[in-house]
Amino acid sequence: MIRALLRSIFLWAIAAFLLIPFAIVAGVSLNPARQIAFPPKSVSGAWFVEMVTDRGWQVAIWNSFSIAFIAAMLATSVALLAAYALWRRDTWLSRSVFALGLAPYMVPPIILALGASVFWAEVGLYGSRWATTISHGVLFVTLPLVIISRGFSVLNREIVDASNISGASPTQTFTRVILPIIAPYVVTSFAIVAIISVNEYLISSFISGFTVETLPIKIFNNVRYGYTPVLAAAAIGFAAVTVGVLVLVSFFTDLVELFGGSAPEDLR
Amino acid sequence: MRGLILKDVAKSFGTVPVLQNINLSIQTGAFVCLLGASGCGKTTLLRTIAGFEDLAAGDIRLDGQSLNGVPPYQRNIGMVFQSLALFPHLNVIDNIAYGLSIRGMGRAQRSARAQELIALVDLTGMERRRVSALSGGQKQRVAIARALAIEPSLFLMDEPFSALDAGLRERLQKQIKQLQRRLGVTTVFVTHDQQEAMTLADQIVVMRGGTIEQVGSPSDIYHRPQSRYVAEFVGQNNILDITVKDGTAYWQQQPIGPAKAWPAQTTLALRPEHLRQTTNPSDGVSGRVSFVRQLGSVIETQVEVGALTLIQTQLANTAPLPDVGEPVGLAFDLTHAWELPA
Amino acid sequence: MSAVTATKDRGWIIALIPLGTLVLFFVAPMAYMAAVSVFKNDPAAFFKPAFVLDNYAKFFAPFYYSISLRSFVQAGLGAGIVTLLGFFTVLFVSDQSRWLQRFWVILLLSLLCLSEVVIAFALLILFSQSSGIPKLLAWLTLWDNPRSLYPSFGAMMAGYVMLGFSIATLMLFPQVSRRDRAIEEAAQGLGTAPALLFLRVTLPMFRTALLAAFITLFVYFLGVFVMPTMLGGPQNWNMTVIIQDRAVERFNMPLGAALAMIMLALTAVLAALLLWLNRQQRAEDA
Repeated sequence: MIRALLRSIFLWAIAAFLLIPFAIVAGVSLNPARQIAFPPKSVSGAWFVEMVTDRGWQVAIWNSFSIAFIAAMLATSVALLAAYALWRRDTWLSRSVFALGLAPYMVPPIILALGASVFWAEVGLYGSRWATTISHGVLFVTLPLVIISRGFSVLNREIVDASNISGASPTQTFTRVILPIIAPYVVTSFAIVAIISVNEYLISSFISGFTVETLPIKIFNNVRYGYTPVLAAAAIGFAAVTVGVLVLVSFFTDLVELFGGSAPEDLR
Repeated sequence: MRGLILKDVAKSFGTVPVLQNINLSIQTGAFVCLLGASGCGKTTLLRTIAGFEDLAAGDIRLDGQSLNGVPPYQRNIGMVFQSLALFPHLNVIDNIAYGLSIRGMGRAQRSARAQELIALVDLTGMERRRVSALSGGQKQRVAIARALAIEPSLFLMDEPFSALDAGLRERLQKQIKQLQRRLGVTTVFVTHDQQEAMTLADQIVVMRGGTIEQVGSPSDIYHRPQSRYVAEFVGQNNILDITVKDGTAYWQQQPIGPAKAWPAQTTLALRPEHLRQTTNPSDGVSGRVSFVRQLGSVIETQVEVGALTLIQTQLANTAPLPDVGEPVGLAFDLTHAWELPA
Repeated sequence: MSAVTATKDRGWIIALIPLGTLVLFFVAPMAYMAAVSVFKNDPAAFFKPAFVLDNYAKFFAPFYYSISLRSFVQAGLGAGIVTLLGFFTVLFVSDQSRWLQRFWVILLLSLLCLSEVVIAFALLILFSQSSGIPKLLAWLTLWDNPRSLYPSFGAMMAGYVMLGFSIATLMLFPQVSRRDRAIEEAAQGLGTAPALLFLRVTLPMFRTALLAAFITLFVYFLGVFVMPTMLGGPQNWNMTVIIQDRAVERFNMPLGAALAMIMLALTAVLAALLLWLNRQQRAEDA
């Protein structure tokens, strides 16, 4: 009994540590005073209004979301093809593509960022939003790769045979059977890459930090030059979108199962 | 030439041969069972016919046309898989109509044809159900309907009933047999269950170690096995290595009855029901009961004779159950003995 | 007998698209960075092709040594704390109901995806004199003269923990939640005391997983940029900050690239060493 209690206390302490900073930011963002202060004396959404009406913030929001959308498409497509190739046939080629896809996750981001910036400088796209988009799309391929592979691992091969013998060519089988079955994993991957891309600072700042201001870059720059409650509003808006998308995803994908969990038999 | 013809088919996985010398000719409309223990190559042979596996050598012809190099999706074959492999993202009617829609059939026509099959396999009212919400037997029938919807030239089934309980399996066996008769579609059915093969097949192909051991009607296979393996694999059998002297057959140096026109040394197969327990030792051989079990209407007794074991069955209630360890005599009815080819 | 034509499988072509993309936009930039690290710095352009080792030579100075050492200590400390906290969290969460597990997975995933910048900003507020802990302590009359708790080593470490926590837990979650609980019960049945049970049975079961989490975090923390700059002072800046400073602020890409290459090499060596130690240990156990 006491052990169970101690465990709960530990878990709630951890959860509190992870959540309280955001609670305070939320409080600050709702305080109408121009100075950052907590707890708020009264509640107002003024800073949120300022954030979405200010030209600078609008540009940053647009930059972040447009980059994230295309990067997520790219990462998900690359991951889908790599996972499909490996599932189809386990060869040295498909296995090395998979391993290569896992690699970016294991290299410190600063090194990815520096590599990308010298590369784009040489190609002549340094400072372009396309450079940031492509780099995000390729370097964030690892999580979609892992997630989509998990989807393929539950796809029974006889289902593909069944489609084949019913008269469907490999291409038809892919679009009419494999893709619909894998779809929840693909959508989850898309959402996760999009969120990661929207939130990413270092690579965007190295490739096009001076020309394409994304949300994290704008927040970082503003913190440097003294911060205002608008920042708090932006940060909390950010966190809310992130959590919101994930909760949405959790409605059609079992996230616990996807991330490898299994509930104990006796649910308390 | 109509029907399915396999000529010198061979196949190996790496250096391991899995099919060798397969020669088989199946008439249009026949129901053929590939029967064998696991690992005998029966599923590989089926998948080769379907086109999922390449041949190393040989030729497969369907209605006169070679299937070599023809991908599965151009063979017009219907297949029921061991795992059933229903499409989890489609409902019952869309599963059944899948092949038709791939063939570009119009919506109205497609749905009419699918309805026909739904009626045929007795699933009326289930059209819009998700396949995950069906029972085992219902899933089975969706798989069968899906395979038959495309009006296949050949219908393949890979141990489709192995996961079902005995009662349901028997019902489905009867249904599939009737359905096949009605549609007259050439059918190849893979099973490891000899009773299932006996129930369904016009022709049984017994396989062993990647080769065909014997082809014949169920009665041929049961009553006239061409090898010791078939004799032992299909139903229970006592294999007796006998010698013949002066018109009398001897087993283990003891006389067991009058011989037919057998050579001096040969091997007989004798079904357990043709052995009889006896108290008169001069009638046959004597041994010791090592195992007894009651199988419904029949009692099966295993008797150790020296280092060998014989199996004997008799109708229940015709004699008291013997005890394990009890000495017992066995008499042989050699008029029913079948001489195995050397 | 007719000729047998095997249907050729051309599916491998599918693998070429991801291969090409990854080689072009991941491997090529890495390789090009390696090349740039021996180029000459050119303030007019970014750099001039050459083959000089000056950039590497600059590393061998006390300044870079101490920065490297500091990077490793900070990353190691952060990785250790996070692995340990994360392991206990996952251990306890995996015994909770499905509903609570979902709460945790969403919380951790949100943190995983959330920008370093936003996390750092949230901590900044938490440690600030105007609205965070110092203010709370003053209000409780526990602190007469409150001032901001950042920049400081502690604030930066809190940032490390918050940043790495989701990575560690999500890595450990599959193995821990699928562990064979019968093993612990069996050990208990054999009379192992709870404390001993944890040390002798539970912990060794996950040694490899824990090591993998530690290495991943270690590598990740070596490359952290936002936490040291936003929450730490100049005395806490790590190699990443220095690389950014040289490459971006001072426009010396070749030097930045050389430092990055050295960092990459040191990281690889350390990770390999840890893996090797683990294998030795396992060989001894066997």
